[in-house]
Amino acid sequence: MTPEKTDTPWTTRVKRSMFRVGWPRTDRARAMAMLSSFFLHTHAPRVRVHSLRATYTMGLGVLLVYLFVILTVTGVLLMLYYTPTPEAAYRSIKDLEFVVPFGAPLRNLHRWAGHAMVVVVLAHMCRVFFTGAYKEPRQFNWVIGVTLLVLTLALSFTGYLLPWDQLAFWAITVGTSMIAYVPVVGGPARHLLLAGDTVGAGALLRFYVLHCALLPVAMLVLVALHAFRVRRDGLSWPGDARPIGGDVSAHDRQIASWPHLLYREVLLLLAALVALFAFSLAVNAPLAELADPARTPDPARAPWYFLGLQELVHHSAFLGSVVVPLGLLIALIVLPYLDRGRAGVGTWFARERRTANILFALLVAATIALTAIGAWFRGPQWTWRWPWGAA
Amino acid sequence: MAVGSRVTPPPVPIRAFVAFAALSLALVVVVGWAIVQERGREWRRIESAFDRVAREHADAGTEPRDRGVQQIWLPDLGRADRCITCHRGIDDPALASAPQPHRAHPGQWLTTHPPDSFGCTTCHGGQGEATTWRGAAHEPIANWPVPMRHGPLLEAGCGTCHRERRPRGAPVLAEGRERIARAGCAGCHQIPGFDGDDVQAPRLDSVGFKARGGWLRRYLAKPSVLPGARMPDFRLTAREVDALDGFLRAQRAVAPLVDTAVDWSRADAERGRELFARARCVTCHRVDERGGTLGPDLSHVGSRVTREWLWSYLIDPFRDQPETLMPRFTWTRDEARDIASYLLETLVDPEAPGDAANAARSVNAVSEGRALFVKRGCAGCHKLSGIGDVPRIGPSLAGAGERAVEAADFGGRHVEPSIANWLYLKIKAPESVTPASAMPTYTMTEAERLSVVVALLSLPRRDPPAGHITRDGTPVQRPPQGRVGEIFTRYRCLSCHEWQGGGGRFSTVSLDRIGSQLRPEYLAEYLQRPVAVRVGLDVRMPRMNLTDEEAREIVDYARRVLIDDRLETWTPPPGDKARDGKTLYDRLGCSGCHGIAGNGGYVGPDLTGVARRLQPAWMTAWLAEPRKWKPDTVHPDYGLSREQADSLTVFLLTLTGGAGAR
Repeated sequence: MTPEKTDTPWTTRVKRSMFRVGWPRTDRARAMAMLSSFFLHTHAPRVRVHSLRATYTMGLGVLLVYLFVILTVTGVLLMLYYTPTPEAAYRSIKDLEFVVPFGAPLRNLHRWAGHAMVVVVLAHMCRVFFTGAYKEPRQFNWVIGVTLLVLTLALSFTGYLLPWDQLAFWAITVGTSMIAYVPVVGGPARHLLLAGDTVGAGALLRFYVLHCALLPVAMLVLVALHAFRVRRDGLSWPGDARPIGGDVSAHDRQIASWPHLLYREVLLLLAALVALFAFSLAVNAPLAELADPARTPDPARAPWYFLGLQELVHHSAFLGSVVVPLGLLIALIVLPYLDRGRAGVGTWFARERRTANILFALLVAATIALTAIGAWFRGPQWTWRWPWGAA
Repeated sequence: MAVGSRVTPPPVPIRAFVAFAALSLALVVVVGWAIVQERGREWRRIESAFDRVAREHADAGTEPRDRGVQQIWLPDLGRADRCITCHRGIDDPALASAPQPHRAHPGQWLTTHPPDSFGCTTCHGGQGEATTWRGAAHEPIANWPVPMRHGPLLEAGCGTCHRERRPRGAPVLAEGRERIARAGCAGCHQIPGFDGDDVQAPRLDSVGFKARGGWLRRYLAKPSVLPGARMPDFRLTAREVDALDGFLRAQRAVAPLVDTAVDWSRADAERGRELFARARCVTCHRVDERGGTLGPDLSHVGSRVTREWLWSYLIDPFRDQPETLMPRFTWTRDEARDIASYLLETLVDPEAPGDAANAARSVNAVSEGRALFVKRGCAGCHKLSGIGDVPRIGPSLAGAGERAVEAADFGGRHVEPSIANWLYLKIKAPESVTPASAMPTYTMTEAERLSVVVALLSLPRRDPPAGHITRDGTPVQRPPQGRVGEIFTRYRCLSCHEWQGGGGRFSTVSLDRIGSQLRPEYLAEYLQRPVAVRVGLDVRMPRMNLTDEEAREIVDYARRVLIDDRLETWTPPPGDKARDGKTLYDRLGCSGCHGIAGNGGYVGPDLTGVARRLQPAWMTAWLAEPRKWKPDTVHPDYGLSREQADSLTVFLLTLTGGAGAR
């Protein structure tokens, strides 16, 4: 560092106090820019061209970070108007809709971003599976990812109750009654979650605290851990699959993160913002009538991402609320430790992983089918009904 | 690092710059869209329009008004009504003719129901939190249970707080509630405010003795064969009619009275007709479309009931129907025979099938009929000892007006989807909206049906705070006791006369302070030979042939108990005021309604001999403040001073004339 000349303009001095390096013009300066910034050093200074390709990662992980930030910002703004009591909760949503400036788009944005996050988390998981990216050395990061999936669902589920309308009340009633089927711990767990045996003022407060404090903080910590490990291990690529010394040079071309990773991220951010803003201005988040414990809508539906399980519960309560969800969770956690072959990593639908891919694809298809059935093909008393209204 | 990892980085492609520019522009557009949406909110445009309208109406808008969303916060009700955000001129009389939504609220309603305590949606319905026309539920919308009520439906709003059977100033609501009570809806449905109502349907314990063969079958198949029948049409199949008929004709708990000394061969129907007329049976019973509706229509009674039962009923109606409204008249056995013979011979239905239609009944029919009796909720209205109390078969109607309209099935009809319309259709033709409905069909006019809908809409799912609710006084639990009590019971005085907030409404005369209103001599005379004081009135007190002793007991009781201390003293004003009174009588045009010795109108009671009828203190009190004593009277309130009322009374006391109105 050379001492600054006294005749340096004050604007330059102020700028230097904030940004240590100027606009980087050489490869070295670009690497330094990436490493010396708190925000940018979460990225490697150089990345493989392979992992920059939009068709490989689809930017889903980065998109999730954006969604989490959008949800945090809109969520904090919503907290300024929201009161977590049964008397006031519903009214505060009405206030947002009718009185608060930009209140309706704000709530829409939070709601739609929340749903989008569930969808994108699931898509992200599918991407990682179909490219075999959970293999060594990334086994544990997959486990963290599964935990983040559970956290995302928990955040969405706890947020679902807060508007305190019929939709919220009965979705949570249905959802939490599934918990009670778990042997031994199910009943007490449900009691702990609801602060009672039914959804009421206590449950609303607990869901509020979980949704606004505990779960986001847990999420933040785990996201940091998840991202840190990605930074350390790099993104998966075909080189992970070959024994050392194999020829993977075709895939190994590296490129400076500044600007090639950054401009992609900026474009993705802009696209996400435009899409979410536009959707939130055009489509209002639903708000049904005020919650009324005395009137059960028929059918009462769980939040959409649990509809597949609800459909299974309809056939067998134990199957739908214990066997399948717990089985799936355990299967996902142990998956990277059982499936240890390293062939086909870094390639979508690799031939070498055909069996695993087919099994997983069937699982995804079944989930989508069951969810669609629960959402559109079930009428009163959970009886079969064609969505287009034919008798 | 593998070989070939260090190459000159390619420049950022040009399409990335294009995408950046396009996305940035799109972001600016979307943010601009949000701002336009926010600035262009409906209520802001109306706020500007209001300023223009207020300027056009010169006297308006003198008070500076706050800008922005306006609301009335109602902590009792836990809601904020923001209607005044757009309806800014409701309290400004200068805007009485301004276009909506700027117009002033009509009438005195804002004075009697200050918006600061009641808000807007308490009466009008709708979503008070909303600041958009659609969101306010001016028309029914999804996800808001109470749409705004317009036109005749508006009165439903009155009923959410005013729980009286007949709230004043809400004629449609009052009519609807009366009709719900009369139709016996509460027999099948739990309806708040209608618990414990007695629909006065006959007890059926001994209907097997009462009904003539074939009659029940006809009546069950089509209740409208009995004019003015209150029983609705249950849309029974022929088999169901047979079963119920068989079951009912097997009900023979109490045999009719029999007196072998009565010689039916000497029955005199002509004398029976005279007795029927003199007792003024038509006060309560209709015959050939004339007469009252308190009791059943008697036009074709001869084709409906058996001779044995009718004679027994005339002698002692309480034997078969302990709860009947009908008094026990004092008739001799031969008089009862003659009346019965008049009814059975003259008042017959030429279309009625003969007794031969009395088909044999099987044991199956009886048990099937019994099951049907329970299933269709007959026991909700008709008492039958063999059945006892059964739970109501229909759903509760609390909150009937706040059902989710999305769940309502309109049977494929193209009507505006509102709960009001659904209720209307359901009442009109229950099976057309719910095919399996057990609800019977009521014969009602369109206006009557509408009034019932209004009354149903007035039952909210959740009551407003107790302080907002007004109710009828608790009806009396203790009618007079002792000897007077016996007389009251026998002659069923309280079937027609109001009594401490309870009793009947058939007569316009309340018994609460009758002893302070009428002179005892006149009361005694009236009880034994009732004479109408209103010439134009159809409803006259029946002549029940009270004994001297009974009349004396009632008069004594009236003078001791049925009095009002405020009416017990009257000091005649000093000087001769009769002339002043007469002048006032002429000036006010009293003779437009009241007659004196044949001169004057027929609307009010005849005043010939009024001095012999009424107590002077009552006359003065009535003339000074008629509405205080009878809130719904048609008698005008002239705002007379005490002196003026006294003068008029002095003049009326000169009217001691005789046989004017007899």
